[in-house]
Amino acid sequence: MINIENIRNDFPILKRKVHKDKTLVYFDNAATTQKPIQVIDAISNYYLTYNSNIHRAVHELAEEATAAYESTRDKVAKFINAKNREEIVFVRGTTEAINLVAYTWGRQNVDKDDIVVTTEYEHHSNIVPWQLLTQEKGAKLEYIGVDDNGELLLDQLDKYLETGRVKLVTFSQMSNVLGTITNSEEIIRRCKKKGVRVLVDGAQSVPHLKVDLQKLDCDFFAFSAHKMLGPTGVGVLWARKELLENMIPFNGGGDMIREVHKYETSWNDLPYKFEAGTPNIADVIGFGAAIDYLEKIGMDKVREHEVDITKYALDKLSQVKGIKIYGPMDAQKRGAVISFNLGDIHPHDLATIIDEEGIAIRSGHHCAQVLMERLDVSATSRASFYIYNTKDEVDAFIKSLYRAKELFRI
Amino acid sequence: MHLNIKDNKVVDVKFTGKGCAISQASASMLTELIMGKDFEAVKKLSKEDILDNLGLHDLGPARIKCALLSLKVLKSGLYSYLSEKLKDTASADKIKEEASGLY
Repeated sequence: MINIENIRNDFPILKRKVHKDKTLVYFDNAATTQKPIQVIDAISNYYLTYNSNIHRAVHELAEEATAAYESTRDKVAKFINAKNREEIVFVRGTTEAINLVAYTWGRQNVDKDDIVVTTEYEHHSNIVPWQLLTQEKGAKLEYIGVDDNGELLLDQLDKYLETGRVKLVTFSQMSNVLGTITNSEEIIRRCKKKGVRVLVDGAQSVPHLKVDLQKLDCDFFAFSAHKMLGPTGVGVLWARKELLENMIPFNGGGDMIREVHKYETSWNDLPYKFEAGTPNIADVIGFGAAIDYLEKIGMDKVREHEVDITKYALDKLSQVKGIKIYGPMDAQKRGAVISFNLGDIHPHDLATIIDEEGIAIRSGHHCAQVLMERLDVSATSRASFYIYNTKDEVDAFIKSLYRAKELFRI
Repeated sequence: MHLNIKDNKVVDVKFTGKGCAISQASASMLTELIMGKDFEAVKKLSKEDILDNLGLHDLGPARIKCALLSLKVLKSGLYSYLSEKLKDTASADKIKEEASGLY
């Protein structure tokens, strides 16, 4: 088991009070996680002692900054078991990673009447870029449906694959609303048999599960630093080298070029071809510290803790009369995110009431309006846990739900 | 939100909606506020009028949207009425700007 007390001591924000004197219970980790002091120090240390631009200048500060920035790339490659470090492209976040693929590979490979397949439980960031692409190309966007248990209806994938027109299947490895862990290996196996490319959105999975890209065998993979103890404004696009080599650049500018002439330019090597302009150096360095932190704990331990607290929370929540929980009830089949509705209390009202007790949860459509439509709700409340959350906090959260029930007389 | 305007007066007003307590209370309060009022007075309703009537002055950026949703709907409706029915482009444009600036 992990030592939660030691971990909590590394997170200064967990010591602050909210609403004057209430202890903060932070259950909005699926939106963004808190940052340990090691990450905050890595960022401030860069600005305090070796701030400079990377890759070009030859002075000592630039050498140090370049080494620190590039070391995060090695850490990422090892963390997700990517075959080559040059397959790791730093972007602003998962959203930008997916858009990069849609604007480059998508524009080059998706034609009229082709099909892009996504799922009903995607975040808007894995829907809207494909709407833009398919509308521009006269292609079709199709959805794999979700069953009442919150799992994907994979028979529908087969139906699309049989048309022979599918160019890409794109899905989240873990739903940000239902917590469902997608049967990714099975989807990828079926797609490979038909020679169809696969993009996996790992925004919710990489922070919580051991991800092994060489085992997973997808073609594109995207995730964000800020959902795994790192800073905002940094994300990763991983793609197979041979795909990246053939993709046109996303942004043109400095650092992504080899030679620029008046009317033509040759591209820099991978991954720099996709990293135009001065990147987010400080936060990439901070991201490296976040990966170090998670590696030190061990992703198997992270998962073990989350299954434990999720199981505990699911048990307690199920006993609250009038609650409706969405997604699989088996903690082994889901991540540490639980969406629910309590009677007909609107999620914004529920979140406001329990916030008065210092408990921060998310309410709303969670950037998943297609799923909200499927569930036939306008919004849900969502509690999501991470390595620093405790069962005592779950108890405080459950107590606050009973207070909300009293206030609304349900 | 449905309004029936006769002789420059709001003679009937109704709303349907689903949402949080603040949005529903503010919509209900707004219908009471404009019922029987002159069209000119309705046009002039401001953010402060809504917050005064709700008695909520310390709403944060997330929840003030809930309180102002119904006024935004009302102003958008008045925009359609002014531009399509009354062909009063100047007033319509003014109210459209007010609606988009509500937050």
